[in-house]
Amino acid sequence: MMNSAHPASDPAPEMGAGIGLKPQHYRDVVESRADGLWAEIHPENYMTPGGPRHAWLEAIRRDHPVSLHGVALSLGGVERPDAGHLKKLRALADRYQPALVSEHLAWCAHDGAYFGDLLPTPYTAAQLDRFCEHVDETQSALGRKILIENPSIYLPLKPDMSEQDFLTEAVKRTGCGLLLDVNNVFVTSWNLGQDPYAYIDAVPGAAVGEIHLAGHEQDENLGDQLLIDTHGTPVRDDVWKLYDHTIRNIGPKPTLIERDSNLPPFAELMTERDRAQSMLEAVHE
Amino acid sequence: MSDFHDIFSKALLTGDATALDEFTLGPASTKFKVYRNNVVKGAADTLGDAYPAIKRLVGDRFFQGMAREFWSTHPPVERTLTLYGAGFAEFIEQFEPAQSLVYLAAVARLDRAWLEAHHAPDARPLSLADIREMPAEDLAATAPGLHASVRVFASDWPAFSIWQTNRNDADVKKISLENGAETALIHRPGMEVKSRRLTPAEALFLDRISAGHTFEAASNAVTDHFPGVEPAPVFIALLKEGVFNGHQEGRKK
Repeated sequence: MMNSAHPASDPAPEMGAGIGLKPQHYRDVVESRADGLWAEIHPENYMTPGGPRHAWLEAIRRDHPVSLHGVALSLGGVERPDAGHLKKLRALADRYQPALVSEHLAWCAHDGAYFGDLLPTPYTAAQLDRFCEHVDETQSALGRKILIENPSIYLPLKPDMSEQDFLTEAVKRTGCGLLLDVNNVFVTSWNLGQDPYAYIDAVPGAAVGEIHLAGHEQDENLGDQLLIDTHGTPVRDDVWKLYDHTIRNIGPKPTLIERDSNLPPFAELMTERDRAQSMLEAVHE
Repeated sequence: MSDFHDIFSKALLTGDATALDEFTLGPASTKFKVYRNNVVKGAADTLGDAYPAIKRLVGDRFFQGMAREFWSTHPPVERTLTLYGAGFAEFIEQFEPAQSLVYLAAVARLDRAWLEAHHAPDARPLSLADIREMPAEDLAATAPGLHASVRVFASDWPAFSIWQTNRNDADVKKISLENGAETALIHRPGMEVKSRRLTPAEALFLDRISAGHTFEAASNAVTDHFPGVEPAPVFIALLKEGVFNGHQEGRKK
């Protein structure tokens, strides 16, 4: 389809390990000069007319690369990406010139309702066709390549193909890249009784433009039968091990520490970030 | 396959996941709850962040129940939850279990005004320096309109005082409902949202400017309605607050 239509957006060389940007840390990020630090935002939180969020983001953008990580395009849905939403996303990308733009293999809107969660996509041939059309349309609207993130799966659907095959095929057809969420690989593999290392080894490494790391927790009712990607704890040791395996296999990639709840002080979050940064530097040498 | 998305969406709205079983490996109900809980809790938490005074007034548990009820009748339509919760005050007015808190809807309007002002377009308010350069006749004939962030609220209750103490104070002050009606201003002239009570003359002045009248007409309205009140200090006080639109094109009429 549109393989060559979009310039490859290789990440800026200074992108090492970054953090998901939270208003509580705006000032700390502006003032930080940590090597390789970058910041990721959900563009939906900045689709507002004005206000301090934009002022802070502009200040941060002056010294740090920024990544737009969308959650609302619903690429895994049946409906085409919302034209108004694409327009707002394009306006943000034009304004902040992000190093990376990404979205999810998931859906979140249907028939006029917005659910605000990343819902599971059936890995069927028909849905793959639709997904690729949606990615194409997004890349055309933005005039650039996007990365697609693998989701955490809680409810396994009857598949025609594996998630890895679905993503690999989408990369081939649309020229999109991948955002490999290593925590999601761990959570999904655990919940489906599969081997997370086999998952990582099946991913086309050259297509990976970014890695996510986050914490997960056991479901409060089902215990260790079901892991939930809560972004509410530090990254687990098992996930750090899987990350180490990943970057040794596919090479160092811009890596993000995601934390959305139980937000720790900036210094504590930076300790985790520094650990990822050191691991990236070790692989790079 | 579009059936799947229809059925999943319906299950999210109703909570009944039995029709999903044909698409899933194993029964859907228990694990489906994780998604439904994320969806409902996500909206309720967003609402809690947007209405902090309401949450504090009614307590976490009551708020969660009220927010979930609001979600089921007002699910988000926009692809972002940043400004989710329009209409919550009107919902509260009709919400049976909250009827005893007569001032609650008015306080909700103030929480909402804060959120809207926070995200309002960035714009320069008319300043003292701007008008210093103007001949008196020009100033009198100016109809600037209000700065885009300005929200004015009148309530039969001391809703502003209740709102303020619940937003700002570690220990909530006791406010007597006998204190009666209040009118308040919420706006964001710079990067910080500001709020204060308005005198009746100030409220009238703002109302006239909002309707597109000139400074002269607004001043005359103050003189007509409040014979003892000098309009000039009312105008200067409001100007210093930064409530008038400072954009050139809006200034002259």
